[in-house]
Amino acid sequence: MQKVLVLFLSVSVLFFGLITARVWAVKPPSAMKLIPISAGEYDPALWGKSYPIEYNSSQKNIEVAPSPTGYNGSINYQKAERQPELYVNFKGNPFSKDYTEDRGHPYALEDLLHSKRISPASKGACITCKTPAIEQFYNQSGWAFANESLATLVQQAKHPVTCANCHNPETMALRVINPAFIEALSRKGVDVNKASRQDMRSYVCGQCHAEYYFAPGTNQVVLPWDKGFTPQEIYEYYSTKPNGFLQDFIHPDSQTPLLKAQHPDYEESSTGTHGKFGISCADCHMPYMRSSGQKYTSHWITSPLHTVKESCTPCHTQGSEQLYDQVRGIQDNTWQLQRTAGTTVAHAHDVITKASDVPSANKEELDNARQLLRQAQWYWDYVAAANSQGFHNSVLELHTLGQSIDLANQAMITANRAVGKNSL
Amino acid sequence: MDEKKPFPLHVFKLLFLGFAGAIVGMLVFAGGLSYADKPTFCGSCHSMQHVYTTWQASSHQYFTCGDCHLPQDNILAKLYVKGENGMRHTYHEVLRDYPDTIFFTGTANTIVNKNCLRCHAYIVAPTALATGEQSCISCHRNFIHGRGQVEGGVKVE
Repeated sequence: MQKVLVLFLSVSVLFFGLITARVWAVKPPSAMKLIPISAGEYDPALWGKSYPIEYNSSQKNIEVAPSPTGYNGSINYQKAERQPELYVNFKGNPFSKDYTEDRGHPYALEDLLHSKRISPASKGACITCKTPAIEQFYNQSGWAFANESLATLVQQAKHPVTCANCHNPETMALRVINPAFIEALSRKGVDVNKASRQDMRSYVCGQCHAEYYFAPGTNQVVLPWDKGFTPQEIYEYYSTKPNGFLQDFIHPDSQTPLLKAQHPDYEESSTGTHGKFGISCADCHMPYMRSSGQKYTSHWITSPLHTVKESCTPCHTQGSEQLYDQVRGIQDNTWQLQRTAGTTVAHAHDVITKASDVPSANKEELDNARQLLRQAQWYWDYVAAANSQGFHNSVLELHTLGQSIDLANQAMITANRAVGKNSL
Repeated sequence: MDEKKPFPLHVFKLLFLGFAGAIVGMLVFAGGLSYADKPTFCGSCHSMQHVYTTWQASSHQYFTCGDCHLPQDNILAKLYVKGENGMRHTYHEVLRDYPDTIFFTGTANTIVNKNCLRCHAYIVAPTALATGEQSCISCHRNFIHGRGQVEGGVKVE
């Protein structure tokens, strides 16, 4: 009897002792311990020794994930397989040779090297968003690196996009190191050094997930935001021939001077519903998680549909299925209209090409047609080149695609008029 | 052998011990319950830190957690839910497997909604919301533990 009592008592003491210890005596840390890393250290594995939870979550970026809705994602298929109109619209531009879906930050350097768009003549400007070493390149010689040989700089870079692109190694505070982004915001009167933490949670992404062009001659990277973030405002900016920049390429058949859009993700999301209400990129793409009670930011940078519970449900309580359907619906609609716009633009290239072959064609009207097509292609490409397939700003993106279709049709009507057809 | 006493001494001793034990037991129970009813007790768990801080900054800071989160119909219902919740929460607190954003499960939603109406029923009484099957917190869910009242995020020290 006594033995049973003693046993019962000791089990109780142990049991409640364990609870007391786990719940009250030894709590999970409520803050991360700062372990400074020396400036210029870019090796993520070394950072990972001090910040293992974040580092381990970032390792998931290596296992490229397909998109939960089937659009975009991190599998590197050729985009033209699903949109053959890309071959027509980008003819004469390296994007018609190789335009794969991007695989994510760990592959930024590797995929740059293997891209058929790159040649031995490629310039250093291309490395601006591929590595944290851009910090050193820029500190050493300013924008001069943009005109150096890309192949040489890639050898020096060593690491693709990683911790140091977004974190100050000594304080772990968020930072931006792409000088083009800092300059673009500065021209808009924004000082990134005074940015709030919430703004920085978007700036770190926006420094690269943005539209840009290379200034002729210097190859300096410039973000075209002087007039605003919408495709209409950016087109207006490009019409001012900034830094002497006229076009990315001239279409060899239709002779249209064209712009190539580059992933305007920051532009779309900051003008979209979430962005306007102050939701940062990281709020959805890098949600807060817990590991053994300790709060951390997920560094698996991917579609929020992979983490609906952590990313969406803190605000939207409708349940994962309804949220998925909502996103899928937006993307389906945008995709359909994007294909319509893309094929209409391709058709317009064909019509203008044929009209150009007619010797009696009105040259002025043909030029008008080319200008309309330039704008139509820009609007289509602004949506097609972005990663959200319409989600970041569905109203604006569908509106933009609608404008693209209309402009491409206007271009065809104008081309017909140039050769005296369909005049009614 | 002596004449049998109707109440021998050890019976009185036992009775006394029994009463004393009962009083001590009740004191411990009442004290424990009163202690465990305090928001500081709820807030002593790591997983409750955020909701505790946001509640402190809210317009409902003068009410306790239980005022809203426990049934107030009768003491038995309250004790049952408190006991059941307490054991479940302790289990997850020991395992540390709770998520960053904690959601209602089971009847928690109904309980809170009923408690909103304990004070605010007169506001919805003249409206269509009083027809039932409506939930206050489907719209006002960020009212007490709202986002943005206190700085969130991961701190680095």
